[in-house]
Amino acid sequence: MSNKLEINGLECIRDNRPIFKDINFSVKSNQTMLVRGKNGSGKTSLLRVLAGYIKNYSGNILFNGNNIKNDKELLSEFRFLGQKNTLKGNLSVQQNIALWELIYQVKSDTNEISKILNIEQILNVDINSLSDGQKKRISLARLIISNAKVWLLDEPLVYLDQDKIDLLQNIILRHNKSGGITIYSSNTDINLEYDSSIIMDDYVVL
Amino acid sequence: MWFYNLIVRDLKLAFYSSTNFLFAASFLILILILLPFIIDPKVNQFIQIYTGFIWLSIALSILLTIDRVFESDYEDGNLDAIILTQKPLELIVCSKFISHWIANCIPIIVVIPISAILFGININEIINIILNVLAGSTGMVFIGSAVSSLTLGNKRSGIYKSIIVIPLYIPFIIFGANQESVLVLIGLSMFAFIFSLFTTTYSLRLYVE
Repeated sequence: MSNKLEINGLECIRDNRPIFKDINFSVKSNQTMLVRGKNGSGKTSLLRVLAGYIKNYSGNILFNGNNIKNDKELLSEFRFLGQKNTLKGNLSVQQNIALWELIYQVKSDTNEISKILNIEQILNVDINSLSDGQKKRISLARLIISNAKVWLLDEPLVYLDQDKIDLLQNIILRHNKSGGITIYSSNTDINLEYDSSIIMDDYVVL
Repeated sequence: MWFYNLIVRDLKLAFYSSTNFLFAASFLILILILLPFIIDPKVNQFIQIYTGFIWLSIALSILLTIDRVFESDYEDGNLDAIILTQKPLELIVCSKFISHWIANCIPIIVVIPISAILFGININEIINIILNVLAGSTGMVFIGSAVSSLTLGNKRSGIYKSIIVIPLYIPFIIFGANQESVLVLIGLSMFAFIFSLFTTTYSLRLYVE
């Protein structure tokens, strides 16, 4: 199945301050897009607008030709992974995954997820005793269990070492192959493979 | 189904966190343990003092636990995830109200008859107290949740919450201490439900923006 996300003339103004303006791009199934820019250039805001958090914007966001504004059915196809890792510190990895399943109304195969993320050994360990990198890796499970079509990753590479970046790369490729779209933000030089990119600093699309 | 799942999720969290289910009820027990040292239970009209203490400790224990309705989910980002499932915000808020009430007020309601028997209070009066607490505690949880959603993400806001919440609890305590006003309490709770639902939904919407 092929999907297409099209953004036309997107503009966001908050507290009378323009966060970004005139953003145009389009991403298709099996593509990854990188959002680049300095701190405070509006990368996170752009992803939050796409995720349906910020509704106060002008311009069009079309998913498969339909405007996503106020369309809850379409918006639920977007999955946002932010800076907070969405983990409960006093619970084990497995319990955390079970809680996400309740939020997203899905049943998933924990064994398969732990194999993909390489977390089999720590499945019954409390989150509090894990390192930041491990937490980040576990938070990726939230993407895998949900069958959302568009993944929006905000700075996914923070805390990850090279092995884990390769792991994330594989997860993203796997998602994209099944018709998914991935958009991620980053301001480091080490990056995942991407098909197109956009620089937020001067509102120019490459 | 997802509504039910959200409640199950919150109850599981309350169960795992080990303090939640026992916290409010043990607070009540501790206050009641102190009661005989302050007042001789053989005094006339002891029932009024007893109900007064029950309501006082319910008000304080709800005040101590309302932080947990949204705060912990907010801090670790789960609130974002729940809101982004794009389900109606009003129903998400309702599920939070219900699960918080079950986790904190049901244990109190279980403890009341046991403690009342220990203080030698007769069965009719116990039933009245329980009915009052059933009707009143729901409204108090609604108001508490609404106020705690207003200060979402604001650390050290405990004292402001108390200042806002305690005056709003006065009507509940006045009618709760009176044995025959269960209908008034139901009315108050319904009013509190409407007020809290709109306030909480609105403040979550503001937080999301």
